[in-house]
Amino acid sequence: MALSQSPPPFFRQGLSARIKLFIALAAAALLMQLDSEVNIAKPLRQGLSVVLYPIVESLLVPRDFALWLTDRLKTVAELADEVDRMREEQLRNAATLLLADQVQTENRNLRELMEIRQQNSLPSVVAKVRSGLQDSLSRKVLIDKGLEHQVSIGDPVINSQGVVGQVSRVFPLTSEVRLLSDEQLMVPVFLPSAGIRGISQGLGQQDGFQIRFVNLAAKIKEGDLIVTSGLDGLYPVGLAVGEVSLVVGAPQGQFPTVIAKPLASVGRQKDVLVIRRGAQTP
Amino acid sequence: MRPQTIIGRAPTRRFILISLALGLLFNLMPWGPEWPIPDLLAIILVFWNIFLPSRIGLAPAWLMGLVMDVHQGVLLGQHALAYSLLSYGAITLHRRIPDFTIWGQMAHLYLLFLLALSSVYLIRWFVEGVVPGQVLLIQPALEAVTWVIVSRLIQGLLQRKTRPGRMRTKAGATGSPQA
Repeated sequence: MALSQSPPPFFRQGLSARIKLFIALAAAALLMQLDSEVNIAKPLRQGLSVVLYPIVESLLVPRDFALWLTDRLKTVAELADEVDRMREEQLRNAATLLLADQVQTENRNLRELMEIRQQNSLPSVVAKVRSGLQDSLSRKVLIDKGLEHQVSIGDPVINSQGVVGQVSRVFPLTSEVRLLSDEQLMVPVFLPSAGIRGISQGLGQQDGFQIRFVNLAAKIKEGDLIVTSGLDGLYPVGLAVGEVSLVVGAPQGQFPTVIAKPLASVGRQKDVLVIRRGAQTP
Repeated sequence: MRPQTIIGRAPTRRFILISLALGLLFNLMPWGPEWPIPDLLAIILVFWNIFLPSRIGLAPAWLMGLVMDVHQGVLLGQHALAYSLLSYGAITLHRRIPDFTIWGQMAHLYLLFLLALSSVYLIRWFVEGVVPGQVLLIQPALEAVTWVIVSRLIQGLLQRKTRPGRMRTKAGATGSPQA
């Protein structure tokens, strides 16, 4: 050993750190390329997500328990208040419901008259929001329905208050939903009060979205309601999206800046509805 | 001979693994996007790479980065890249950092974390077109501060383990004790 040609083991350190760094960076770059361009990295992501799922779920247990407990510990007075409020709401809604019923019947008749294909109630699946994804540059949440429940990429997600967002990735047991305030989600919208169309784009850094490409001459006020225009054939027509919160007049030749806030609040444990486009007839 | 460190006793493999697993678990907790959360796994990786540069290389860092990519639902490979850069930076700095005071260490680490985060955000800017805000400056600061706390904590733990039967002066600056 003492006279052997090779250096003693403590001098042998393998590749130099710089070469190792180079290999690591190249591998990371390659992986990013594969993930963004080709679908080769998808099984890797799917597999790892299945492994991570039980760990993440078990980490959520204490939080879910705390939420459940606080929910249970609401005082009787609070509950009574809530019941009162709900009764009142029900009364108010009854009138609207009756009206909606009438309108729907009328609508159906008219559609039949015009021989337009009937828009059936949309196939959908109810999901719960599990957690927000911790990435400061995007606004996404994880919901508890996935491939198993026929959720597919691009499915619109709504709740009782309006549009929530769109499914951006599907895993076997969960899916990822891009929220309206994510910079990369755009939804074609319509402003009924001003009678114009535009496209919403999330602000990313903060909660809210802006409306892009609106008509220069449009009279938009703060508080105007924004609904889906359905031009993309993805979101049903007329769903509430948000409310205009700020309008800044544009300099000559540019579009005005219109900032809005979403109507649908998305919190932990809230229920959302995923509209299954895959199940729809095209 | 073990590399010269200011750690009282060279930690066991199990100790390192448990610390990394705890860091990973911390990162997997359901933090929302509302507040910047220090990346504890990265912090612990940097700690070990500074004080024991030959024990953890780039490969485990790279793999754990991949796990974080999947968990956060971001472009695969960006945490892998950041963790590789951090580990390399830490290995490069391993002779400097222990000699500095808390503030000097924080300054070094702030720049290191800033470099890793900005390289990731640069790539995302190219690929996804998203532009970061002040989080780019806040996150590394938070991580540098947390690093100092975590490193004191781990060193304290290791020294507590060595205490019985051994005379220790200040932080064992002469290197790992040989029997």
